[in-house]
Amino acid sequence: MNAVELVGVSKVFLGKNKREFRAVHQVSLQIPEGEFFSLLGPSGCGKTTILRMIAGFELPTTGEVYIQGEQMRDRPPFHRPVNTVFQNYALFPHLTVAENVAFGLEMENLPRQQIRTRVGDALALVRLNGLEDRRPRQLSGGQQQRVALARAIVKQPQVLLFDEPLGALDLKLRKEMQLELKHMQQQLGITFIYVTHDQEEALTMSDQIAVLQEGKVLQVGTPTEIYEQPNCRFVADFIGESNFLVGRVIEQDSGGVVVLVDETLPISIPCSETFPVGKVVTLVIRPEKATIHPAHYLDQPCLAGIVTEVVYLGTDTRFVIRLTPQSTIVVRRQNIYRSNLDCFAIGESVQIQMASDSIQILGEGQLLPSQTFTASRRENR
Amino acid sequence: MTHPSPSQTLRQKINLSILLFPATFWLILFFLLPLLIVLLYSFLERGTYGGVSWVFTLENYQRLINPIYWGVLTRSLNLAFLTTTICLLVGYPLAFFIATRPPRWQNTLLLLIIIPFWTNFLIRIYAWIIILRNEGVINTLLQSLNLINQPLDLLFNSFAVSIGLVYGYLPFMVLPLYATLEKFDFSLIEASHDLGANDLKTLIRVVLPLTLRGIVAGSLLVFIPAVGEFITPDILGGAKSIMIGNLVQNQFLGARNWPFGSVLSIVMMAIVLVPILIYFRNSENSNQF
Repeated sequence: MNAVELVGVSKVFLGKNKREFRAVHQVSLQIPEGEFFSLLGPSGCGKTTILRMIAGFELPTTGEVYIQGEQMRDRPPFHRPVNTVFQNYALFPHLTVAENVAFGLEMENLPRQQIRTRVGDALALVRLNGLEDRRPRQLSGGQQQRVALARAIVKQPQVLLFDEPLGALDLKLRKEMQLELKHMQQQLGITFIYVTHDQEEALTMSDQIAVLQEGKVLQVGTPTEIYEQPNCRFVADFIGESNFLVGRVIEQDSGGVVVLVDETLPISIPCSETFPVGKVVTLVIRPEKATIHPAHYLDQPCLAGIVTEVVYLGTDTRFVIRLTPQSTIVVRRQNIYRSNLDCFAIGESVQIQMASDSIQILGEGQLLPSQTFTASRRENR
Repeated sequence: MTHPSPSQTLRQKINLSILLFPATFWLILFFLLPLLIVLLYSFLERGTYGGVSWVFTLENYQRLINPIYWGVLTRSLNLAFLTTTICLLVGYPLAFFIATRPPRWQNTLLLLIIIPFWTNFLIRIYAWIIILRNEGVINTLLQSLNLINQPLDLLFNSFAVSIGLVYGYLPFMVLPLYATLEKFDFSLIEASHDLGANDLKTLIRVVLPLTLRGIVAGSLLVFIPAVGEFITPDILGGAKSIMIGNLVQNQFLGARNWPFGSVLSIVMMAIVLVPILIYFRNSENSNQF
């Protein structure tokens, strides 16, 4: 059974001057039990609205939310078997850490002794023993985050909802918490639904990721599927860094296609999908999947260009290579050897080798005379 | 500000006292000094034509034993308490409503709360006579609807005084409540709902405790002046709804017994001091979060 299922859920908000704003549009998702499921997308993509509809803070304009197979339309938040870890933690400032964690159990009218035991267990789980009598204000951001987590976990919900819970933490702490959350999820076996705009976070923790844009689900899949086989340009662009080469199919046979990029550059790619000759397609090439070589290093046909930019990034070096007068491609090379750090200089002619099975073909794209090639970075958006 | 070195502290102290001089001067001249005069007068004998004669006595305080004064005092406290309660019950939902509107609406609604202040208090209280009297708006309306045969006695009793007090002091309740609720983090309500608390439990366990400061501040701002109020009972109340403020006014102006008027003032202040002390203790506690 699915822990949570959304069936054709839409949410329309009325804004100023009664202008309708469509936050979520026709979203259907099945979230299996015990899974770490991430809703990933840029801000304003509707991911938080979806989470709030599962929690019950918003009602879908159309469509239904099911939790454990039960329809949730008439269930207020306090009657749903889910708990939320809020983005700003929303800890009760007038209560101590222990009282905050006990709050949800007191609402269930459990016996005192049981509440005390369970609060102790939850605080031990998030490693906050000894801070029971502090007030939220006396805690660091990371500790507050743990209290919020303990407060939700202590309720032993079927589904735990996270609304960008690590957003306010610094990078190191965030990485620690990511792994800790993942371990906790595996240990407890609770379904986690996790909203984030951080693609790396989603890749690190999730069993499945749903990528959203403008209120719509673009792709649902495992981190590997999402990264290796993005189904559209937005997903390829949002998750990691991608080069996009737009071209026209000029040959098609059972084994694959040949795409003519920029009217001059034929690239042959094996693919199981069929694309009719003449169709405009986009090739997605991850910068780390291309290898850079000195000119005339390879005998086989491959891309050739001139280095225009070299950026040393520590673990790897990022090269921008001009393939044709209008267009460039980004290649990253891991810095394994110190000796060849400076081996490609600006202005040098190079060859680019790509495993043809690591190129993803998208049946979309527009041929623009000036933008046939684009290298775009996620960070630039 | 960083921790000042000792020499800085002295200079800062001097600067501070210069800056605070006008306020200190004002408070000493117009607050502390009159207060001491009132305290002094309460131990003196009354003069023949008003004023005081400089003879020490405790007689004025002994007069308080008379149950008539206790009746007035009790009524004052009751009326003030009732006024505060009604103001709170009406004001809290109102302040909550205003604080949850979009920002552009909040200012307009607050303006509507404050607008009555632009009219003189006396005139506003007199207006209630027109509403409440036998030929007034309410009675005329009820009679024309044939709901009553005889006009209701709405004026010149404690009921009219309560209405006047609630009307007059409601803004003093709403404004501090709004100030507190406006800062209230409404995501805490969602957190409470999320943890299984229904609306009532959320109100009792989360919203009220976190807005207690506003509740206490508003209640004091209503209770304290309401206890000593004399204009509203003077205009809307009859002989039976006299409050301690009327008594003080009467002793100074009518009976020309300044010492006894001073005693009544001091008793009133002592009573009012109790909630103020509670307030300070409360604000010390709430400093913890």
